[in-house]
Amino acid sequence: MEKENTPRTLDLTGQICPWPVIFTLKEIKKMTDGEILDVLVDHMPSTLNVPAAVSKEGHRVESTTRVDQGIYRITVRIGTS
Amino acid sequence: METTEEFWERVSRYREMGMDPLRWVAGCAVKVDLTTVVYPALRRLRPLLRELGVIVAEREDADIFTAGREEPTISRRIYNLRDPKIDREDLKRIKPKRAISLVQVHQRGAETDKIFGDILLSLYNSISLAEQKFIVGKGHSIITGYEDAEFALFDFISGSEAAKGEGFTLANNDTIQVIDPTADPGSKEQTDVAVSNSLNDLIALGCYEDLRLLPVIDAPNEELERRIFSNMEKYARKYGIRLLDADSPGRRKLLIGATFIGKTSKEPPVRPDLLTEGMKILITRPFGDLAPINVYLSCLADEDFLKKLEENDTLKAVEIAKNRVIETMREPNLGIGKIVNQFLPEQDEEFITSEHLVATGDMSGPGVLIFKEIAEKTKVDISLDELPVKYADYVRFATENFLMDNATSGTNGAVALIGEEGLISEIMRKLKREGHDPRIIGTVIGKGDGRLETGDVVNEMIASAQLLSEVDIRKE
Repeated sequence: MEKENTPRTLDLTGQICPWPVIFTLKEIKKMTDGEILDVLVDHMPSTLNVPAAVSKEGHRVESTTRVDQGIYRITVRIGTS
Repeated sequence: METTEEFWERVSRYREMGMDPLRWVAGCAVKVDLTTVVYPALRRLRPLLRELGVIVAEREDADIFTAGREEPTISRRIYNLRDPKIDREDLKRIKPKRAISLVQVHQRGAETDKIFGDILLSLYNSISLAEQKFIVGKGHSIITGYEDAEFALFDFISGSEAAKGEGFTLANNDTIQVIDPTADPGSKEQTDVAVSNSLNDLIALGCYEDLRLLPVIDAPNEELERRIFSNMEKYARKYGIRLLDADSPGRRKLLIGATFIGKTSKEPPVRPDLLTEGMKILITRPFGDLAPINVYLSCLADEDFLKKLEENDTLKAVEIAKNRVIETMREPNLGIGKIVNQFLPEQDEEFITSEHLVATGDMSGPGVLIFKEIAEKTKVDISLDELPVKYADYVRFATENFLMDNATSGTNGAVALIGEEGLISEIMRKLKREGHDPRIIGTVIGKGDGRLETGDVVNEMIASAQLLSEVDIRKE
């Protein structure tokens, strides 16, 4: 059964590639399977690169949602791809 | 060689000084997206701006206009992007005929063409109150992660009317934040690369003479700004370029670049109507220069990337590659500009396709996608048979790990030349004799829909699915 928990939020607004990918993967390393990470980004290429990078590492991207003008939330479930 | 620990210690030291190296983006990665944002915004705005007296030129590498006998006057004005407070009398005094613009917008303002277009429309609405009619010959739009770093910079050009036989004036603006985020931002290398990169679009058009440089320098503190300016003075002295006084945006965020103005007596190679089937495409050297810089930076910042790299390589080897590409990027491509110039007709003379280049392009920002732009603009189809990158392993690493959208891009990069096969072979020989590493990489298939065909190796060079969708990938 997948672990239910409060999502951890990583605010990467203001960051430009390649940092959103680097910081997201660093944050994921601190987490355990089943935990949820919400990543906030506002650099448009990051809305594609971050999901692609975390999927490649074996995590599941639950959604990418526009939450405000130019700000997107990428929700990742750790280790359950 | 720096370790991961030393890298993070240095980041902390910079942060204590009010600077954040993690916000410095290497090279040309900070442009507002041309395909999805800038071009659609301008398509919508052009008729509206025309009503305001502002003509925005079609997309070109540089503004090109016939020169007057007297040197044009350049007046720089810097406005708040969202609240420009235009001094109408000032603009009336300037009487601009043309302008080169540089817009720095917060990345959320570049989310869509609608949002970005509305910001530009509001800016030009304010400018139009001065009732001056002018042409924006070249616009450069960049993003920032800082909301308080936005600005609109105009280098207004005014002066005598064009005179027949006086040649052409070319003008362009380009900027970077930094080329090597792991090095001192005030070092001479960083400035040299930024300035050479600003010049490269003029070089691609065969313009390398009578160059004038208006600095664009912004820095977190005055001491750093002075060091960058001093670097520009040395650069200008070394290459015989006139350095003009120009205001700084003063946003206290790192930005290095220039507006360049130059003259040429030759017809610039902007003849899309003459592109025909069988013409060959030559590049002056392999591309993808930014990959080793981004790979090095990522391996310093995160040990996991380093571990992946060390499965087949060493950090020392990446550092050597990074330093080599920076050395290449520092040098302005003046020799290339001279060679392009030799294969162009004199002003008002006809283009003879067996003797003259008909199209060129600076590969710096778009990398291999420059050929998609050329294909679309000229309504031809282009096939690329080879994609020679300088450091294929680092290009692949950057792509596989999503460190770069487009690992074929560079800064002060290769120049692409298009012409008839015999002419291209002659230029190839000439470039080789002068120590360059040119390659013939493709062919104009013929008139078409603006398609770009490549081999599937492009998948190892471009990570962005959106960018890859612009290319027709051959099954091999």
